[in-house]
Amino acid sequence: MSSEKIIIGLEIHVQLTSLKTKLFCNCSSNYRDMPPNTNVCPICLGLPGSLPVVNKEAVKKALLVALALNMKISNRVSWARKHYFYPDLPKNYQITQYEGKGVASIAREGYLEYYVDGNLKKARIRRINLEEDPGKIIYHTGSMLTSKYSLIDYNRSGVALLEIVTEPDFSSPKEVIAFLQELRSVLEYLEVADFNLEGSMRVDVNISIEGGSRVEVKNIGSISEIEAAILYEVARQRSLREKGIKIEMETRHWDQERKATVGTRTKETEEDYRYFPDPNLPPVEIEMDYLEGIAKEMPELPNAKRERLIKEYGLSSYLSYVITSNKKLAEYFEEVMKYTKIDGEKAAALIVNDLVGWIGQERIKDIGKLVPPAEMANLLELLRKGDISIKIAKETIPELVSGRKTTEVLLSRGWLGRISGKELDEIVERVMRENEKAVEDALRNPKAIQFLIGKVMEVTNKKADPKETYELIVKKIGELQKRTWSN
Amino acid sequence: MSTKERLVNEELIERLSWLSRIKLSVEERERLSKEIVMILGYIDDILSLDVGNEEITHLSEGRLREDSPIYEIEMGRELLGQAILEEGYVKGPKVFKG
Repeated sequence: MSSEKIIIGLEIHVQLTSLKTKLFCNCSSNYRDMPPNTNVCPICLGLPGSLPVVNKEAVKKALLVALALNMKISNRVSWARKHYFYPDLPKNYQITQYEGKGVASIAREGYLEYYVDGNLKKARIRRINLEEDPGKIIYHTGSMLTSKYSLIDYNRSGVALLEIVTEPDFSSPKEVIAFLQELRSVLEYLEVADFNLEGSMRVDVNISIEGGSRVEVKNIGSISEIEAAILYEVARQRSLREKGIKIEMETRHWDQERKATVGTRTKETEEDYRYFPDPNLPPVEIEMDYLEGIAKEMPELPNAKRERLIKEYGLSSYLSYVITSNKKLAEYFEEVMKYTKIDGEKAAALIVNDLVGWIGQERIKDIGKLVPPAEMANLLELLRKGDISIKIAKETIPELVSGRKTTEVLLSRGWLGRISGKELDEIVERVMRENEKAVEDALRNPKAIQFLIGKVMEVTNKKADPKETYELIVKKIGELQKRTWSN
Repeated sequence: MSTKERLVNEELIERLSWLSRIKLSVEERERLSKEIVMILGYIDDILSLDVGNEEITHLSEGRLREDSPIYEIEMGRELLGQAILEEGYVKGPKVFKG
């Protein structure tokens, strides 16, 4: 394997799913689950004589993102037409933004900081554009390669998209994924998009091997597919180079079924798009006061929250990172901490490892409804006071997830109250007396201690502290060993 | 680049034909070549005007609308009356020419 540098740049399309209507018309932006071609009007179908009018909220959201990504913001919002022929584009041009004569992107030259394996990295953002989403193409055979014709649903046509273009600042799939996760968090914090919705983030990846031409891979639908697409494309380009074949500058399509990139044979160049200012959309000035108002509404962003949770609750940077990567989870954690004095790190570990483990990543958005923060706090508070063991706390969590209350679970299971100290010592003694064979095993093989711990848990109905039990048994086995040797 | 410097030749006509997805006959190509030279001459005339540094693309200020859905009467599938539908989808050409 050769070791030339891999150069990767990204073009990310994010649907502004928080909007109620499309970018230029009053059709609903929620097109999902609608019968095909029912969420359309003369504007988003591009019928002659229709006039687009810009959605104010879309501009506001784009400006919020621009501020969060530390960008230089244009003093006016202007629109350009990008021309190309594709069945999903009803007007044969897309209304977008462009850096050219008389028009500009809404913002340019920003950056986003992110972490890879604990190291801080910075990716430059070239520009962000507001633009309309095209319709959706369905292939009746399931694949673009074998379908004799295409089927188009224009329900999505005209939905507001934010295009985020980075500089080629990435050199591995790992960096790309870490960056995208951070970007996703930022956009979630800004309440711009809900990434649980299918197709709400689509990424085009520009990949080249140092000194070679740039290949654009389109149609990558999820973060998990990105790694596969990059690895495939790098391997393809390397193998061409090894055979002495020139790598063509081209656009390739990621075929999710075959896990391969396929040439799409579009030969359009920038010039061919015939960008020009959209005559139907005169520019709108962005007033300084308006921008300042938006800046005031800026919520705390993931990086700032991460630092604050470390300072305020004593979280480790790892758990703080995990908690803040999801806005709902971070809010939940802080809400729980209002009702309990437990050590923050302990609470965070139980929430991240146990509670989220039982709920599942996709249900984090409903975490507060599934287990109310006060219930979780109640459990943590009992743990802090020593009324329950960590083992019981962990076993109670799935019951809370299924809708039961903390005290109800603990009372019905007889789990309230923790056995320790002298009481536990006596129980351990008894268990060891009653299980001579197990004690003999443990004398020879320390792993056999687990059986005795299990027995103690059984006898105490899990109310014994596992750590204390373990230490007691190890101590007693140690004493027995000494006695055996001295005899 | 001045439009005069752009060579109107067979290759350019071929490219424009491909970009617009319109097949042209030999006669059409010849006629279009002449027309394009004329059009470019006209654009050169416009570009020769001294309008100062101001880039005027629009004569009016744009406007914004509130983000509230309005269910208009003129919405939905009946607008696609001219299209060929298959199970509610618009039938279009194949997109991959492999």
